[in-house]
Amino acid sequence: MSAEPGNEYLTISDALTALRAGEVTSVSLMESAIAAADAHDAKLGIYLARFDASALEAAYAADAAYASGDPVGSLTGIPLGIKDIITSTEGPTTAQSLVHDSSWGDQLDAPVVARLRAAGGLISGKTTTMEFATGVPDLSKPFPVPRNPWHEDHWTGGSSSGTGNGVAAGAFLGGLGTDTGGSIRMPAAFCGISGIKATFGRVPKSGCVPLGYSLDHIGPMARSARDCAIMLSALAGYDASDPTTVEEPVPDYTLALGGDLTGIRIGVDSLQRFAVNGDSAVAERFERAVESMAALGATLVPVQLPYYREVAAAARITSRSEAFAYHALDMQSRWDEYFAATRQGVGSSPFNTGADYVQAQRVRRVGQKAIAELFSTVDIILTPMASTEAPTIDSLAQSFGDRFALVHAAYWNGLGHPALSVPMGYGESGLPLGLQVIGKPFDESGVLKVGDAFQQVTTWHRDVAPMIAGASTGYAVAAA
Amino acid sequence: MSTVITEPGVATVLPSAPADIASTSDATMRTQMRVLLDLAGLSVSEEDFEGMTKSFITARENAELVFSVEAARYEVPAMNFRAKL
Repeated sequence: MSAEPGNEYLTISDALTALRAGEVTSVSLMESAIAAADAHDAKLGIYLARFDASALEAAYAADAAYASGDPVGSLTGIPLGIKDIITSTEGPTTAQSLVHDSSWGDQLDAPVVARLRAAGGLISGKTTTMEFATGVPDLSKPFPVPRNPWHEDHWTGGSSSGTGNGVAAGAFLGGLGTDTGGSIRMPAAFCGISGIKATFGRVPKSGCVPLGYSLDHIGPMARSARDCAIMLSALAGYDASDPTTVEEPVPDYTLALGGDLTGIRIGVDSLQRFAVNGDSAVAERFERAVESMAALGATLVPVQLPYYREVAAAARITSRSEAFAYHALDMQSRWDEYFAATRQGVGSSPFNTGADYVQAQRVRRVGQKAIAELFSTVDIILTPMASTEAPTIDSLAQSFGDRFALVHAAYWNGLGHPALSVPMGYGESGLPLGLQVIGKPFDESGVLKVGDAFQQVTTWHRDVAPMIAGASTGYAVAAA
Repeated sequence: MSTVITEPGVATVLPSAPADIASTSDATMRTQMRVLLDLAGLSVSEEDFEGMTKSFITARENAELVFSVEAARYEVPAMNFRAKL
């Protein structure tokens, strides 16, 4: 199920080139974003709040900045969506929950939002999530249900759902997601876009409603790895408000990009041994992607991720325990107001003990040492992002746990390494599949370089879902 | 296994860590679940309780997995506390 040639959407990189050349204006980009939201939001559940007026006002200012000839920011004039567990000045943060205190965050910009705004980004609105960035939709609650642009009966993945389907629908060109166990990479894979969780500590997460304190990451989602590099260059860096951030130098990640992978050693683990009842197309698509890397000059090394199930289990225990510490008092008094998946997921934390939690942290350390040893022999590791396509929304309540086991994300939250998902083709039902690219701690440049090189020889990231391509709005432009 | 008194006159068996789920009967598991949820102060509907039985099994399997890692026996946890803010 590939889109028709020529019907491709603008990337951030394309848009910046066009803006600098005077071929498009910020206002026209924002008006197209608004038109796309008008066309698709009601069906796809992209937004919880739209900031059309303030974003348009910022777009006029961006055009004035370009016209002045003065230096502009790296994202000036680009419409961006913000997952609604991250605070911004435009409105309250809901966490898509009836329980959350919407005054939380004092309606200030989180550091990441302030950084995007300082880079000239246009904040187009707050996007849908799963309640408190966990679980699956609850159709009984008064919130939009995010749907997959490739088939509206299917889920977007979560929890950065609205940022995922919003990019795919052209409602904005990039946006912020958060990732505690795959919540950037899963919706990126399921919606056919790109998304990166940088190294833990690389991007400040203050101003974001916490889920798992030692696992949470904020990161960019956009059409391409290059777009993620542009956004991450603006987002990364120490901030005193988040003591987990580190004072590592932040490079311009776009400078590392280039198609040649000569000299790069890539470890390959298909994770097929954990793909029971998975999508049969995943192995073939993964193999093709790996072959592309070899053709680009990389040296392939078969590897097996150490302590895979154990570290994933440790991440699961950690996530549940840290989330329950935050929610325990509200769950005692407002149980029924939570989504069913939050109740049954976060509420199951008491089934693990304090000792389980501490042991999980010991296993994370064991895993860190083992993966560091593996990374002494390779520069990058590739795995499928998930061994499944996006499940149907109707199936989630019954089978989400089984499906979640087919998403190969949480291991890297447990270890803190940077991990990128880029599209690698389609599954049995014609829904997008993702390729996961993982690097050493703080080597986001290496990860993005490999993702970008792959996208220089493939077009999956530029495909547009037929539902969107059939509409007359959005960022439709001829292929560059 | 350990025994705790959850209310006057009622003793309940709780799983030690790790729990031996394979030998736990359904009735015992449900008793353990109710005790743990009660201790956490959670009033759970029957529908949610049924939905959480799978979570209980997964949680205890995860505990077994992390305690099965021999290399973690003398490992320091990946947690930091500093006396100075």
